[in-house]
Amino acid sequence: METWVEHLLLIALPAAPAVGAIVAGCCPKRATRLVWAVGWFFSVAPLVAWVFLRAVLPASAGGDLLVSIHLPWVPDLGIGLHMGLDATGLVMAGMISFIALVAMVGTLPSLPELNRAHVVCLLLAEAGMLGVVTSWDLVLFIAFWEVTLVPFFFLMGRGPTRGGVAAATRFLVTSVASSVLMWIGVLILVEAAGAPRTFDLGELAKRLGASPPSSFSSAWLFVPAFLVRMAAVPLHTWFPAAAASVPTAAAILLVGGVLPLGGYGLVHVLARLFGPGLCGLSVWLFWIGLITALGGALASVVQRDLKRLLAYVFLAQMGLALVGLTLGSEEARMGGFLLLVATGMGGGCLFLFAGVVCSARGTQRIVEIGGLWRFHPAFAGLAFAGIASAAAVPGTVGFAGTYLVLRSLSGNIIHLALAAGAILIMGASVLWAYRRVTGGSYHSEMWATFRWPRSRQVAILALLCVVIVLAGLMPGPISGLRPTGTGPLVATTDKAHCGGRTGP
Amino acid sequence: MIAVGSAGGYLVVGTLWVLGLMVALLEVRIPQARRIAFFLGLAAATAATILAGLMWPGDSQLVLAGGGIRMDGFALYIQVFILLGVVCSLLMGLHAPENLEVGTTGLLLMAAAGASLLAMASDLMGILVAFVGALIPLWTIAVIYKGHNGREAALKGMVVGALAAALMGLGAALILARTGTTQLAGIALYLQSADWIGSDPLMVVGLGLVLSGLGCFVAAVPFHMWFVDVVEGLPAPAALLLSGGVMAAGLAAAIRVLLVGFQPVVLSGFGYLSWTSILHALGLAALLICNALALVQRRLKRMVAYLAAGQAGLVLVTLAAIGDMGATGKQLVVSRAVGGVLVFLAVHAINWIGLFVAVEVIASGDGSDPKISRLSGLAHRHPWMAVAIGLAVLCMAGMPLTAGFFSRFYLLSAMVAADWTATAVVTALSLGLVLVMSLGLVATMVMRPEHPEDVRISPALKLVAALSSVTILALGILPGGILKVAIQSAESLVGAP
Repeated sequence: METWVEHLLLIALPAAPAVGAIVAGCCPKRATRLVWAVGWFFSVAPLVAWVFLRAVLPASAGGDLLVSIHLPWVPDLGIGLHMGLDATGLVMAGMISFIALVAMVGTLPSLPELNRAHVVCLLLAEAGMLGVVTSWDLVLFIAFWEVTLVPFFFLMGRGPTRGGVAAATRFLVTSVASSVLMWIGVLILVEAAGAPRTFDLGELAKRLGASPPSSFSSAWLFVPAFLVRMAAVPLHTWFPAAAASVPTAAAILLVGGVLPLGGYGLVHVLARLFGPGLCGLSVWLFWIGLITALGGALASVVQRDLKRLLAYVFLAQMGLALVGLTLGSEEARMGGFLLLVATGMGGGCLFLFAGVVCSARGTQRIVEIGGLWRFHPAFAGLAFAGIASAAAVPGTVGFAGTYLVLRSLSGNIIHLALAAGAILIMGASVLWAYRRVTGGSYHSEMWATFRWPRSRQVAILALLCVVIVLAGLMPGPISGLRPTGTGPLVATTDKAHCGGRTGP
Repeated sequence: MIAVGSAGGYLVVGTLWVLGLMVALLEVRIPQARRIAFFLGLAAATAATILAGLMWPGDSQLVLAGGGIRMDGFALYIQVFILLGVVCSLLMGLHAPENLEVGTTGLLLMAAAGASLLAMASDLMGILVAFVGALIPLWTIAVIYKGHNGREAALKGMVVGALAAALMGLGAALILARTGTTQLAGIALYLQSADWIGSDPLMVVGLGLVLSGLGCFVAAVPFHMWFVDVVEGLPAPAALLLSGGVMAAGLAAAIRVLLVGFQPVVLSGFGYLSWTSILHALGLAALLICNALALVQRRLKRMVAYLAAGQAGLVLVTLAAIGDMGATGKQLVVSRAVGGVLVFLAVHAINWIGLFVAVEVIASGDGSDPKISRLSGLAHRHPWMAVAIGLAVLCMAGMPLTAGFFSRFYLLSAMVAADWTATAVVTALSLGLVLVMSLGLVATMVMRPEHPEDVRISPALKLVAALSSVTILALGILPGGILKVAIQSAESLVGAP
């Protein structure tokens, strides 16, 4: 039984940060403290709304909508304001609102020019991402998907280096080019679904399940949009450059929000419309994922820059997630989804850590950083949760996801070997980097410019640590699945999609 | 809705024309009365806008001038947005009246009268007259404007315009020779009963000439150069009228000519030589070339002019797709698609107001085309103005939450409905190009250091900026109402399903 409270909480998810952005934008420019207070309030608000929503919603599994609102928008064309959350959406919404808070915390005071505009952009980006998660109408989905670009462009470009602008431009160009293709894909599907026209995701999935589209060319039009956001090979080039040169807050949002959202889009839109086999696309996507995982892992080995190394590691983890999401089995998809969560949480954790450390040391070169363990053991120790998750150490969410994906790959020894190799390599490189940064001797003059990590940064790192471990130990409830794993992660009809073509 | 009847059409056009003449004379004869003349003009334009709005949806059976003018919903719908643009361009003239030569207000009104006539004309000769009537006052403004390239631009415009008029006139004459009429309804009637016209050289050449003339007038590639030069040579208010209102009216005229007059050509199976394929090629060329050229411009007015020509290309491509669709008898889809194009034209007119606010903000006193770099750091000094300009720029690129998103969505949706997937993909990618460019423009305002010279922003300019921004946001967030009106207007032209 849906009540108005649930509807209000659902709307509050994207609306609260959007309102916050407007309020922050209307604050006087010099009232920095006021702007920050507004920013804090409105980035905590969606998280609070989410917690309440989680408490009031029934803990059912599967692809059923737990809560939804449907209002007409452009009735002549069948476009509606349809917002909703299913089990996966609920997890994703919680993660995004949490990561946005991490990004708020991760905004370093060392960049004085990051003031009102920065807060406005952070809140807008959060609103856009939560909008993507909650939209169940394809036009609404595209609208949020594109609108998110604007705050990201400015978040990324306002960094201290010109490299940020270049990375932002690259991200922008690839994102825009891929998302306009998605427009066309959506329009083709809507035409194929017949009259009366509708852009409603659930309705379209139902109709296309009954009469599947004959070719998979329209599915291809969707793919680049998601692959760009997931930073999958060959559309990944924007990501390492961006992660290395944008401000810390933007990097946290990119790794913790944009990357998992790409994977979520794959599950939320593509798998729902084209069935679990993605119209025969999943074979291609599977290999793209495997190549991304291997390539990312190998590239991370040769990095000298801490942020770049981390970027390649998470790129590899996204590759594994893509492998899991396209494998077809329930277990693998669960693993892929857990890896999305692992990237979000681990990415938020490690980029916050790297941002603080690198800005303190004034360098991003791994060999020039060292001795952090002796200097601030709590900060270094808490960051280990992220490292462990990226290295798939048991007990972390990264392990849970990786284990499930590997187990579903066990049928094919070559696939298994490639994926396991990627995991080993990325684990090794991330552990090496961690040892170099935290170990070694401590020279006080090296850390002369080190401002202590703020207590709020340590606190949020501790919180991330708890989430990573909890999600690793109890992946079932966190991902909204029954412990037995019988609930379908992706809502699909039983009828065969695309003439029965399925994945590998 | 007021049943003003036949007087209404004359009222809108005639008031503007006569008042324009009076205002121009008043300004020239008594320079002290300039302000009075100006407000007289503003009042006339506002009254005409309200009149056109009240008369909607008009009466599609009501014909004037022996069938040459139709006061249908389509005409009135377009007129409302053209006239709204005129009101805004007159208001913009208040910002820096010293930059405008004496007589400009009157000439603007006369051009507006031409544009209004263009929206109503449903006769080849009427359309020709209306085109020339709208453009001659604008060329005259370019001639008297103090900018150093105005005269050259006006000369170019007149030469190309004369050529276009000659082509279209000759085409109309050939068609008249065969069909016995230049009225679109008559031509359609003839074509419906005629056999395949491919073997009829008179009709083929006539149609080709009419298309060339129309192409020249709406600045389709390769006839776009005059347009860019004239926009550059005009003061911002007049340039706004040319690239916003007159462009929208010209495209509306093209819709009327092709979908009413020559739709049967597609039906009768003209094959690869039908106007749809020609328009398809012309439109795609305009879309790609003009958007690419806009990307490399350093001066704002030229950039906006290229973008306007690119917009025209977008409409032409969609028109070709709709023509193809009509051939397969999807009447429901046709009226919806034409409705989408009408929304696009309205949004274009509104959007260009916002863009020319940007031009006017950084306009220099000597009448030269301002450099884009002059916008740098505007957001630091004038954040609200930067928001308004940013909205207009993002609307042009089809960013969600602005009116531009849905208007482009409708056009792409029409192309996909006609099974023109490849064209839709190319179009979408070129829109992506515009989006990247527009974010670059916004980045100039936000991320660059402030320009040493401050800009002056008058209350009149603020009012215009607020008007365009609010409309852009309103149509972007609540797009349902205007689409309904537009579809109903389209049905008055292509018939209800």
